[in-house]
Amino acid sequence: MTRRAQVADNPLASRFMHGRQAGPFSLVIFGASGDLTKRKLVPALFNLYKDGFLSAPSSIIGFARREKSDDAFRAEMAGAVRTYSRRQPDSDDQLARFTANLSYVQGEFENEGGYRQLKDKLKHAAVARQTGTNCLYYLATPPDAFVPIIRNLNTTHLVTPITDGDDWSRVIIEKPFGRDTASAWQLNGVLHGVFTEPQVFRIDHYLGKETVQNILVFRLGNSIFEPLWNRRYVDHVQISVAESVGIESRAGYFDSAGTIRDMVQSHIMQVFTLIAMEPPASFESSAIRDEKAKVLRSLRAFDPKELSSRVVRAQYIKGSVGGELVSGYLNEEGVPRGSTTETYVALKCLIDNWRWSGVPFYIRAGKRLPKRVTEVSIVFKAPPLALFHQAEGNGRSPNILRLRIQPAEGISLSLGAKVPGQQSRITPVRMDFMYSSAFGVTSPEAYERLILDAITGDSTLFAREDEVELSWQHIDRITQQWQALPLNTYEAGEWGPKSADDLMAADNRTWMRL
Amino acid sequence: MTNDPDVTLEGGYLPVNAELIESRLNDIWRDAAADPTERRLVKLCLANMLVVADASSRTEAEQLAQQLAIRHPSRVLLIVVDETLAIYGAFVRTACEFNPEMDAHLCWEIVEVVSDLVHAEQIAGAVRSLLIDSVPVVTIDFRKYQNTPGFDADLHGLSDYYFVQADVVPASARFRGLVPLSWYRTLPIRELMGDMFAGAVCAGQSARVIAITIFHTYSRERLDPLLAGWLLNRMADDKVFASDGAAVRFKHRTHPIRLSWQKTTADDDRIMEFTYDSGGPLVATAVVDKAGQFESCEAGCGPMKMTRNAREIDLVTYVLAAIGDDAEFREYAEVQRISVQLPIP
Repeated sequence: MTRRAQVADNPLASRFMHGRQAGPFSLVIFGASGDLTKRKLVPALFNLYKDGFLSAPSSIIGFARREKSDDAFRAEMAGAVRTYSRRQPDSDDQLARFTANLSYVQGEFENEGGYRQLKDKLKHAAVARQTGTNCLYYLATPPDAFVPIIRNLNTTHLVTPITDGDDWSRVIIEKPFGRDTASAWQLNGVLHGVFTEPQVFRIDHYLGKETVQNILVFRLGNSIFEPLWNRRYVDHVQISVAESVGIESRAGYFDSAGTIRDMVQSHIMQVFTLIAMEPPASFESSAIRDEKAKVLRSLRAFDPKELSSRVVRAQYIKGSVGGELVSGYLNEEGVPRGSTTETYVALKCLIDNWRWSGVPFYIRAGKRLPKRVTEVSIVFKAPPLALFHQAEGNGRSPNILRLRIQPAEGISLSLGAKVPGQQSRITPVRMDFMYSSAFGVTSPEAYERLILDAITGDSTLFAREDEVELSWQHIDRITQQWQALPLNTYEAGEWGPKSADDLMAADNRTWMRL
Repeated sequence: MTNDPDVTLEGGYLPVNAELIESRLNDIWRDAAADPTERRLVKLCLANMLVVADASSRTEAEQLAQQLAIRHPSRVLLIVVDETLAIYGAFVRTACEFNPEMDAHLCWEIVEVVSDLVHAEQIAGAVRSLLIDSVPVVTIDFRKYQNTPGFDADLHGLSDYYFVQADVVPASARFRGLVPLSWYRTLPIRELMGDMFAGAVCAGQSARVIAITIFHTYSRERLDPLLAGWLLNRMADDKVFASDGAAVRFKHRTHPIRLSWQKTTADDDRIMEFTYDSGGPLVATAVVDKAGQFESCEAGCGPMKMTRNAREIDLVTYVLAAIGDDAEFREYAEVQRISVQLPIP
């Protein structure tokens, strides 16, 4: 009997403590020298360990090009936990126990040599650390390394077929998953030559955020909202992803991707589908992902003839963000001279289905905006009759439901209320719910949830093959017409170009203040 | 961006960096909330209050910022563009007032940004990042001259309600409410004349106004266009009037009235005069300070007089009343529309 089966058979296993726990496993992180590993992955693993979710034997192996000993890797990752973890270790001993699970393999992604060493290390861990043969591969590398890694895992027989009883191999792939439909197809083809779809976990860390997960709970776990969640009551929806930073050190990647590929195709489309999807038949992974894919199939294509009235693209020029002068995109280090890559995009999306017909979803995303904010606003229709018209303007303010995804995750609902006094004056007031104050604990990092999901085999919060390809098809229709659209500019520190305001003004609407 | 929390500039200023400022404010609130000797703290933010000043109006602006914060707990951003300094820095402070009904301290925060002209163009970036979402932006701009075009344009774009000292505001700016502070300064005259006129105390109930004269002198602030516009907006039937180049004629409840202007000397404190077909006249006078602002106003006929100390109608009360009820902004917009049509000498 395998160890997992032993745990499953044990009626006293303490699942009630944490809801679910990882069984024995090994995790291989490709790109272990990168920022993502230091800043996010290892701190997330430490927090899972600290919370007892990784109590079964486990082995975490870093794989990267740089020469490094196991001890050096452990010391480096201990520093990363101290620096980047949302919580500090209770003691040095606790941190030491965690890092004892870490080891390192030096190798080139393209050469088999490193993979053979990896195989030896995994075999050793399976016996010495009793981790078994379950293995999760995390591709935290630049996208050009995905294909060689997948092929080498196959040729060195590091992937267990899904039919092999309880044992499993899974792979997590970081975004970007392709740069268009063709490359996404190609990558899916390579993946499916080695892994089956249930073994593939295309990660988008937005889906691990509490507020994003709460979208469905909020919609479907409360009886008062879902009846309103349609064209009859909703005037429009806004999805905003604002970043105050520029491209930092990612000029090479960003200039070839732009905001529409970097943000819209991935994070925003995921949030968009969760907001717009029909209630699933169950909370099973496949049921939810079926409904998300349906939304993408109902999204009205971006016809070249109406592109200019539905899409705005722009690039930041020098300005002041938060009070400090910053340079324009073209002056950022590593950006090619004369680049026409967009750092801001605004879209008007329309969904041709029974629920959302005629309800625009406005999307905007950009860099060097005044704040780092991600928010979804559901703007409900104004009351049909201005009974309180003497309260000029405010008397018919719409109710707005705002889902704040970051920072300060929470939800607020604005309502009209009478101002105390003799007159019938109405003013908008807000009912706020903030995760940090409501539950008195900080939310887990998105990566904690997603890594644990992948280890336990729950793919609900990961993008499926068809979702990815469908969203690329919509993005392709836009990017194929890029040159026909003017590239506007906006000063760094402003909320985007004037043309984005005009896009809203054409529908007598304005962007939410963030 | 500068994110070192320990960095301070000469004079105790922080670098102007929105993240740093927010971080400092969070530290202050966290420390205060953690103090077991403190009562409950309730941090309130009913609006973003933007108070803008230059070197000459800085003291007045600082006082107003403090009063605003107390009366209408908000995030107050005090922006001083001081051409006499060579600094670009920020101060943050918080304050609380105990509310016995809530058994809690009601608290607010003030961020002061001081900038020379060189850095003025950067201020709007800081302000945008520091604004609290979902609550209106109310700007009170004390500067007589708006000599920082980039910042000024940004300021207009940011503000929902805009109270402005300067006479010229770009027509392209769109506000939910805009009034110049000169309109606020006419308030004591408007209130006094309203009280006196309502009671018809000068000429009896049946008396009719047949002429109105507005006096003006270039030595004091020109309020007569606003007052004339106000009279026509309130009195002219259907807001219809005609000009013959020197005066304006209109009907009030079907009876004709002639409105004209008379140039006068600096020592003449008359503001306007109503002539009745019997009794009167009703005269409004004002004592004006060196800055051309009313210290006190008086209205009456013969021995019957009403006086209003203009300082009693403080700006904070006015601002808070105005943003709670858009009537003041609507009236000013109508008065402005009328004023530009008047043949004021």
